[in-house]
Amino acid sequence: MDQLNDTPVTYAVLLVYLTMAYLTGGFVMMPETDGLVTYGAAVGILVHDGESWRILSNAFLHGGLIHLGLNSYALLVLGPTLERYLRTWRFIVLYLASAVAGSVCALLLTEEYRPLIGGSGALFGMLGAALAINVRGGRTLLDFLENQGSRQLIAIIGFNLLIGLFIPFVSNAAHVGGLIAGFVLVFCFFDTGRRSRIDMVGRVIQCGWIAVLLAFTVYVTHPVLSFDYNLKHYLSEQDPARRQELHRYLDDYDDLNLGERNYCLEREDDPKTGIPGVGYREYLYDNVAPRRVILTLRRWKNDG
Amino acid sequence: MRISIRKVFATLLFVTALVPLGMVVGFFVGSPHSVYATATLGGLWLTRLGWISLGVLGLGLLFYPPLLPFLRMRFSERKRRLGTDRGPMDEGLTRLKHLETHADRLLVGRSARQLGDIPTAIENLSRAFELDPSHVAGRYQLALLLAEIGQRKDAVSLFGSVVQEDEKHAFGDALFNLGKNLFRLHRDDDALAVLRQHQSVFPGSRLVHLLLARVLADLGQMDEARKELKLAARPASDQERLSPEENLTRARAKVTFLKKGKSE
Repeated sequence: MDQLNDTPVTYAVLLVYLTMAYLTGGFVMMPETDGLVTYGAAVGILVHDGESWRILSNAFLHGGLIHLGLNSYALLVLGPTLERYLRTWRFIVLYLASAVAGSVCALLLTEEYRPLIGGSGALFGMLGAALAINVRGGRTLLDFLENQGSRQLIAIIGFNLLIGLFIPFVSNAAHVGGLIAGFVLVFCFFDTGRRSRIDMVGRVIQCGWIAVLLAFTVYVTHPVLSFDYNLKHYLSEQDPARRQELHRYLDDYDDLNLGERNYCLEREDDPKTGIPGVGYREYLYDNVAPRRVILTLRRWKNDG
Repeated sequence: MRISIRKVFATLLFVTALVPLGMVVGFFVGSPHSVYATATLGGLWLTRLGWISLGVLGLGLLFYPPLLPFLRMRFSERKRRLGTDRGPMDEGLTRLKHLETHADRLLVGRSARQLGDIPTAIENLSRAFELDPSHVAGRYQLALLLAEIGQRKDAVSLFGSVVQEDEKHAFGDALFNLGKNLFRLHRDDDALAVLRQHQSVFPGSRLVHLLLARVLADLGQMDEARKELKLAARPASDQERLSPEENLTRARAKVTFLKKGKSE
């Protein structure tokens, strides 16, 4: 009970994990994807279709018992210590900022139709924060390397990133984004080391980091280099000159492989990974496609 | 002019933020096709930049073979600066606001020099020298700083006075630095005597062997110079781990030996 009073945010996050798992039917090995998408999985095409809240909501969803169990365990190991050290409000900011940074990073590098879920971006943020606390704790910037605990922490981070490289459905981009955000947040904002005040350059660096996060968040909600995003604008554009401009863009888009895209959308298996995406693609077809994607793609293809 | 890494980093952060923002603004205000074309061109140039950097590294290795040991030394200098504690300097500066002491001036000056903050180092080490000109460590630090900023004549006289009083060679580098600066001032005979003295006290240093080779070559004693060059270029033994400075010296000696080391 004392621990609950000391670290309320950690347990609140855990409660949200469990509630969302119940709502999405996550207490099974493989939950239905459409449930996850309904409750907030971050799908690129939905995020840039105006549902930007998905950038944050996906950090509370999990894909099955193993995913939920591992992330809950990590939260219970890291959360209480960090929450006591940083105090409640800073810990809340750390969790949310790392979750957003992780999602933004993943959305930048992941296929637009793939749903992203999981609190691992935020959990990597906690690892980054722990590393930054260790770095700040030394007499000099490199002193932490003398400490065995810090070296083990680096090994844990490295090992987890390595695992992410070999498992295709693990988004390492989200891990890296969260890790950087957590580290930066503590290193540049929360713990200024032995200096009593942050100097002018330090303040500019803080503003710079905020600008980077905001700029990339704006970009993932308006991915102007995306074929689908441009197609949406093309089809809704009334001004003939601008329509022509967008047409030029779509004609020049050299990464376009319409055949493969249609295959991805219409077939149930992903041709690259072989992962079945039954409910998810049906969901896209039923809910998203009528709004934009599949029909417009077909129209584009037929119109030439 | 000294470039502040923190300022460069702050600028880079804003430039990084401007790229995606510029693309979004360009899409809505300007032309989507131009945004796409610019982004494609930017990506192309980034790739080219990578290849150009590799090419420059290759050319660098061709024209300056000890490039890799040189980069290792620069990296080690940066690491040393990052590993230098700023705390004592900050505390010393705070104390100096209330009371000026020789010890604090020296502490701040020495830390600033190690951290590469030359203006602060000049201000504090010269003030420490004014407060107590007889303090040997203060003179030694000031001499190192003067040598670093190129005032060799003053550096030589200070190193000389340190060497005279330092009978037990507590400031071992003072002898080497005296010899090096004498050589730079073209006082080869004096440099030779000082470096020989250094060699008798601390034998085996590759830095001294290479410097001696240059001094001897300037004096026309080519055979002696070749012997020293050979000693400077000798490989490390199994138990020996060369410091970045020694490693670079060895590489330079090796290249010089290959170019000029053969007997006429």
